[in-house]
Amino acid sequence: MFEPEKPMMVNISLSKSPTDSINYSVTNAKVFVSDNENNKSELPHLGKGKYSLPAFRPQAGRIYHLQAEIPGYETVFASSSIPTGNTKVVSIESKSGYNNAPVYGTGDKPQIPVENIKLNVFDDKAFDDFMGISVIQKQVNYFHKPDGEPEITEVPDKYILSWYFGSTDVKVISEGLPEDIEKSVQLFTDVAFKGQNEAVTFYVNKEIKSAYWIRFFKFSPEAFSYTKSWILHDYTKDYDFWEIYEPLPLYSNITNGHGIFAGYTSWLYNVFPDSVITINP
Amino acid sequence: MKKTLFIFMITCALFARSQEKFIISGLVKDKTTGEPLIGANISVGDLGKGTTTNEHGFYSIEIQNITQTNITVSYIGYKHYKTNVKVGPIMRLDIFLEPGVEMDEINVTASKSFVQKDVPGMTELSVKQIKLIPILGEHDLIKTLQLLPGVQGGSEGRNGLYVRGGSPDQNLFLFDGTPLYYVNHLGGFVSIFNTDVLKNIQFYKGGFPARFGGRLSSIIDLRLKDGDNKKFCGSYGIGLISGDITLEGPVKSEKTSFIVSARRVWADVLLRPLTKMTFQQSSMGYNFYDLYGKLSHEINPYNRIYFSFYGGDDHLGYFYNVPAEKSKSYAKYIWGNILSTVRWNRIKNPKLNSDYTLFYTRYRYKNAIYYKSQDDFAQNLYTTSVHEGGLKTDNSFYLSEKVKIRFGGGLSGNWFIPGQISSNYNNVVGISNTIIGNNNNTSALNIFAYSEADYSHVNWLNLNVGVRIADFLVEDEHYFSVEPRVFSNINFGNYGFLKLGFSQMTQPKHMLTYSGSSFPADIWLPSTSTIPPGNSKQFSIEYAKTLNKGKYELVVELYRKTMKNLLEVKAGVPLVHAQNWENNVETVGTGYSRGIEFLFQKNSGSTTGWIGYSLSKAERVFQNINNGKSYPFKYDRRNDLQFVVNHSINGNVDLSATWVYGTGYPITLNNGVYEAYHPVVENIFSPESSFFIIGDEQAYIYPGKNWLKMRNYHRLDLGVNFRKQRKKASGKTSERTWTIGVYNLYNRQNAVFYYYGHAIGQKSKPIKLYQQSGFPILPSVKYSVRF
Repeated sequence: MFEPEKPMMVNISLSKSPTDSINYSVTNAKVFVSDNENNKSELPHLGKGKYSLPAFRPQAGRIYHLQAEIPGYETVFASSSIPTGNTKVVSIESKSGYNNAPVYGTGDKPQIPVENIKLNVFDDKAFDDFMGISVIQKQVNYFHKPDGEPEITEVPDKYILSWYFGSTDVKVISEGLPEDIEKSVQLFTDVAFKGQNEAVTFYVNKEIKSAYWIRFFKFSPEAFSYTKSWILHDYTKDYDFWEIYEPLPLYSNITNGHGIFAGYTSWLYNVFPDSVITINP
Repeated sequence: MKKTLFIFMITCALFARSQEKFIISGLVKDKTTGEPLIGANISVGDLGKGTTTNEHGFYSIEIQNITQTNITVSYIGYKHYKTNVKVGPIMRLDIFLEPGVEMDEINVTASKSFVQKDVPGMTELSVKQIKLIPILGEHDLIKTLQLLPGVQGGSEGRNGLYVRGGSPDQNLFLFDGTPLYYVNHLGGFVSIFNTDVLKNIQFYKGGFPARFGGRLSSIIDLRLKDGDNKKFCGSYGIGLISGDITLEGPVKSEKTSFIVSARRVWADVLLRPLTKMTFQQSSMGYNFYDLYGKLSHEINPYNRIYFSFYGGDDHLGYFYNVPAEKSKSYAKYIWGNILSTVRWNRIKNPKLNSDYTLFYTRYRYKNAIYYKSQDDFAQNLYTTSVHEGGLKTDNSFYLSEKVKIRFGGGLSGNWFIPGQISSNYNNVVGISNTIIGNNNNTSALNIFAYSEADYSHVNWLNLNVGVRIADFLVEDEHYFSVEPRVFSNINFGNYGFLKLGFSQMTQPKHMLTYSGSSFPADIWLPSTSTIPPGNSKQFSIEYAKTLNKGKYELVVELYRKTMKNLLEVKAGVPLVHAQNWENNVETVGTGYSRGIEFLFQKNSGSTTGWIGYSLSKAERVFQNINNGKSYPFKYDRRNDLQFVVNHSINGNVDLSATWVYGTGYPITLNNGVYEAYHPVVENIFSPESSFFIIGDEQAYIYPGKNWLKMRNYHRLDLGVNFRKQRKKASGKTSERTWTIGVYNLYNRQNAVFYYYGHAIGQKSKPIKLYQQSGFPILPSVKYSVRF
């Protein structure tokens, strides 16, 4: 997975038997990357099967090709791009409230403090956009006071990705990712966008009203398919007692191999509860 | 449309050949109970003419140029009936058969002849036969059907019914002619059917007469007893997991009779106190019940009315009670059916028997979560249901000695609630009332008509040509279907019978199963403007022969079935809130199924039973599954073998042994892993940290969907019924039966699934492939009394 302006890191290993506990990093491959503007580089091996060249930094809007020659194996190929276009977040509204969605389970009070997020997105109609958001917040600790009342405090300099966040927005639901699965990213596309500016709504469990961060992603089609398929793959790969769902394979765009070679770009925003932030054009 | 016209023309041509002749008609009934008998054989003198009673016990036979003749009636388990009658132009002759056996039929069998059936792939099971085979402590209809070739039961011990590569929602269960949408209890381990109330069971998997429709793979036509109209009697039974009681008798002389039956599992009687003692503040309970009832009334010899009822539910509950906080809460899951039918059966004239049915059937699943404390109150209720109510008519018209016509039609309204959540709370936050998903409710109208012409030519040919026309109206979309059905039975005398069949079926309703984070729910949904009804075409050829004067039967059947417009739930996708559930299913799938089935049956003697074998292949193709390539159906079993043996000793002890062997079911197991980039799992160093990382998680490599066959399956079950009759001082007799069974006698570890992992508690040990096995050896016992 590669981002603009960050050195591309290619990890090559041999697949192995499920019963094998050793990792088989490939240390003697010849790895080439090129783009659609005739830039081509060989990525040197840095150790443990990782190949990278600090000077080779992908750019948004370009198409990249990977070629890896591994002795004794067929050459593997893959292509992807870093998305471009003017689709972007123009404002973020955060409003504190309570989750009034039905909660399965008993004994718990169903009203959980949440931040309701409204992401206003400017859609560049010239591009098909594949998007997502994740939420980062400070880790919290739970204490019980002598009187039994719980006390929740934030841990300085420790961060977590929010897994307890979801959406009732059809633009997100229509991606068909199970609501029951806790996931650290919510995905959506601009297929259902009707105007130039479109609002997409989410909620995230947040027990303390404090600053948090939202990462907005624009994925290449390959990165989007991969991220979505990872969530499903991870959810279905173990046996389901009720035999309702069956394992789903992980998306791969590698010819003669398995894996992912895909670009994406992301923006990080610091958000405050009960506030609206406008993103500078 | 041309096909329809052709079939109607044939029907009309057959009408045109009718002539006026003498007619004998009436009902065939059990002499001791007054119960009409379905499928009794009636033959007239030496003319070689014959017919069978329909599902209401009615027959009509036409004879010519004769004033006096012998009438012979035979029915399995009853003494032959012979009489000499003077024939009038129109003659009503009700025949009462006496239960018992002829001297030359020592211990007649429990099962009925396959050879006599004109429909390929049709089986008629008797209740007696089911009662000879206890499986997991119960006499279970579905588990007995699983012992027939071409039928798979799914996972170990469960009551799945996968007929010739079809899925469970492709089976139509008709309960006195009314569809049942859910047929299992206990998560699929026990079926809802109490065999004590059943009179007749007809199972169709190959040829489908035109009177049946709406499903792709099988029809299970169940008829309830009318109840004994001569005397009051009943039975009760106590088993390890459940108890049941059945009562029947006359209400008013011999005109009105009733039958009621109740069954309840009592796991909760033990489970709730036990869990409460263990966990103190919480407990759990589970139970199910079934309630059957039927009232039959003969208005006059030509008119009878019936009221049938079934209600059954499963209840699963978790309860929490914290006295210190003055709070209590529970989570309850309830699912089941209600069905009721009012039927008027009329013998309009000696040739025409008509049946009018008004019915209502409902399946629903509910999940209620409730919390109450001093200050707070919250409640969530999730409901999904399907309701169907309608009218229909079925008519049997005995046109001539060679031609019998069946025709009918009906309409029904269908209401679907795919998933609705109502949530309300009243606490410090405020008061709220929310309903989600009520916009998903859908209704549909189903209209159908059918006609079947059954033509018999002397003794060598029987031809059934029919067509079913249906219109399913949903979301302003008309799904009009024309379903031709043709089958024939050619009698080659000593060389046996050859049966050919073709059936086209349409299914506009689908069942999808949702798991979510809790107990699974079956959700019935209609075809919509974007999801067309499923359809199937099936060709079958059957060869049947009796051996040794009918003692043995051999049936060999070849079939090929193609199913189109199949649905599959996308993996793990919830359907509960989805505004457009169509987005959550893979559509336009195709299913292919073909195979050859053998059945060798011994019908009479003290030892009866059968050997069944099927060699089959069932596949699915979906554009978005397995890269669009064909893959084996989840319950594709290439080789499947069943041995069923029953042996009776002095009529008081029945021994049964069942051995099944089958190729392992296919599963999707990974055969490799690799390091994969993935979204970061938990803690991160800073908000700027990379979202995708590598090193913590492995991705699985699957060579394909359902690519691996598990170990072969085999299992031996034994059962024994000890019966003892007791005569009371009043002269009444009662029969007590101990049923003892052993499931999986040699404790075969049959695979349910495979997984890779470490030995429990030994993470340092190497990863190995493990097998999760099904039920070990399980004994069972049941005591029942018939009085």
